[in-house]
Amino acid sequence: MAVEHLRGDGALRKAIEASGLSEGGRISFHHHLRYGDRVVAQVFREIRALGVRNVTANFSSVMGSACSAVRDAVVNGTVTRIETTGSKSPLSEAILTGQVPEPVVFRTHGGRARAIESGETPIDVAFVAVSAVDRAGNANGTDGPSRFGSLGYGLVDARHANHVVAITDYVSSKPLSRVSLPADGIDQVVVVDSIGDSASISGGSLRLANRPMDRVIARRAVEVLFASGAIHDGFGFQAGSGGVSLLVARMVAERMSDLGIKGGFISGGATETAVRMIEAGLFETLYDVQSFDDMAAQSLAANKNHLEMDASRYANPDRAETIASRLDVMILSATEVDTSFAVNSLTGTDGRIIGALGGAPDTAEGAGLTMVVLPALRGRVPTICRTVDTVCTPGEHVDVVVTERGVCVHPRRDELRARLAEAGVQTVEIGDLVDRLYGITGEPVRVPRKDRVVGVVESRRGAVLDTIRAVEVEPETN
Amino acid sequence: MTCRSWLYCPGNDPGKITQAALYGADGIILDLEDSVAAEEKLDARELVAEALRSFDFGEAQLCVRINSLETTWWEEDLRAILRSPDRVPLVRIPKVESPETVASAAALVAEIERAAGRQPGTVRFQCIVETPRGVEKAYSIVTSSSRIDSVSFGAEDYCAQTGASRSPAAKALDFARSRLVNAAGAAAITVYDTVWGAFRDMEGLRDDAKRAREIGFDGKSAVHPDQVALINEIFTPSEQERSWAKRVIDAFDGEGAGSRGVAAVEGQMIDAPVVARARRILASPGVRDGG
Repeated sequence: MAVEHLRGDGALRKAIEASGLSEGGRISFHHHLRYGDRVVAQVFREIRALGVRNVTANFSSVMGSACSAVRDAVVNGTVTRIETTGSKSPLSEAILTGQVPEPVVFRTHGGRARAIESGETPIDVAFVAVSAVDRAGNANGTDGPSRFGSLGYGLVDARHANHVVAITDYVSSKPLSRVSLPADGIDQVVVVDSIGDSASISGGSLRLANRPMDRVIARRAVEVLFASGAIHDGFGFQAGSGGVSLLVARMVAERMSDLGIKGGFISGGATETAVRMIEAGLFETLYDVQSFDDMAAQSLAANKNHLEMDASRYANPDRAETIASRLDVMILSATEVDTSFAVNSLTGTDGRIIGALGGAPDTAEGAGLTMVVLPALRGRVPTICRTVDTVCTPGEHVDVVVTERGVCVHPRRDELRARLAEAGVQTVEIGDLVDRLYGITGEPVRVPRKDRVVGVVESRRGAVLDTIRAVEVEPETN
Repeated sequence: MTCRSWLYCPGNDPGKITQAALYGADGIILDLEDSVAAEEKLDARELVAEALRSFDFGEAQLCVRINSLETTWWEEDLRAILRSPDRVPLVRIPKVESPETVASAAALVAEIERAAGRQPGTVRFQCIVETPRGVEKAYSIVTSSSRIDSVSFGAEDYCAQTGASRSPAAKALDFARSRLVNAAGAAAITVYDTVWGAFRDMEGLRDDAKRAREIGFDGKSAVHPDQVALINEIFTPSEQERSWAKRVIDAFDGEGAGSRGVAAVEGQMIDAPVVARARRILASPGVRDGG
């Protein structure tokens, strides 16, 4: 039987009422609409109008104007608990200043899928934005004016929520040729005027690094990768969404092409760079949990080698095998790395919450070679430091750190260090690099923190990895 | 030390100064002249002096381009940058048109050396010849002082005054370049080529640098970090050149020809000038370091 399509004024409110959401309920959202998301704000407006309070909101991440909507929902008491992989301003300031009543739980993408699938964090109502539905109620993210590509994070929510509300702005008159979320996994379809701003959905935040220093780091990273022996026929590769990571991916592609190397798969967030790699035959398959740009969204619909991957298959540590665990090479960005090689990708050196755990801790643990690429200095602040502000990825899962001022190999990877030395790649002890940087900048002083814990960083298996304590910050306005 | 590449770094930008040594340039030019606005000249001077005193530039050779001797800044520039007793940079003097310009700078430097109790002649110059008048007097300039370490060509002013074109295919600079190379050869000093200002035009840079190397320049200045790797590549002797040079030296040394002054390699006579050329190739940056 076809799923009921609700349209017009009051449709979303009617769907929420029908979902049975009540005081203290648990709801979820994905972040595939990225900076263009208009769904989160619409849903919270209706929940507030219904007078439902004390809600736990579980996000795969939250960014853009959705952060304002969530902050408002916190301030007006609709939301009292937040679970997410990351946050941006002005929600970040609300978290840091203790406005969210309960500590925010930060999970990795794989850890979130595990927590949902295991029932650790149940979902009463999943609000799943989709860019298209057909009359039967089948849905995807690749058709319609607000297409965003893969529905990788939302699929886990939809599979395990008690009630699924699919929200779209496009109903196809023909059956969808590609279905991500079948009608039998959806309780209601709500048709709204717009789910998002297409320009902000499909671009904006991802930029290929373009500064000369970024190119120095990327060239050095490529040198290390090829010297390490990790790049070979059939290898699995992923690069994070940071600008230098993307530049490394592009340079790796060029070198693979020159050397005639053909990889097995490339995975993670799909970008134009990754799409071009499979189109050029450099990899057989692209596993896509999130499409970062419109070219990736279109490719997912059209290229049989470009496959949608849900967050559980991507990185759920409870599964015997994931794409993350099959990786040979993972390239990560970071805000800072410390002398134990622990990585912070969530808080800035000024203590603000500016990033996300994302899939970095998942892939770092799974990959054969995990490389962090970052500039050793950002402005006058050293990014290689004695102790990171927040541990997101434990140091034992990192193999090598590449900066413009030196390549540091984790002490447990002596054979890698020897291999690099044989190839003429010089390395430096990470403690010596920190000394050198502090010699330039002076010893950095951390932002004073209060006692109150406002955030908990979970390991991918659910243990407490670190906590974030409140700071005094001036809220930023968007 | 001969440098394949000299990277310009604005003297008023601490961020760029701290990064300058990371791009692989053999030499770094801390600039007090054209890249620094008049209102920032004094700050830049102090910043450069402090960087020379305390900052680690690795293996790179250091040079400071002072302001032209036609300005009111150059004397204080020299006093500031020669303040540090531990690190004496090469002094790049812009717009040198006559031996008298060199003499003026040399007189002040001698006074600074005396006052600091330094050995006379420690401070060396790199003269920039960048006008038609300077080109005409190239030999008298480069032989005017024992402080002269090297000479550099500056094409922008030269083109402005002569109407010559800067397109890579143009041969309009060949005369000036050749004249400078000849003067430097006669004075047995190194000679560096002008910058290629279109920093995104890497093919233009490649052609321009290749032409300069053919004419006889030892290296070239860079206005952008992205230019360094290509300049280094062009001014690093090729495998073929290295192999030839090694065969020459092996033959000359191995046959005991040093005493006879002549040997033969693959049917070619090897005498002192050829050996000198071979030794120069093997001593080039990028070869001697195994690069």
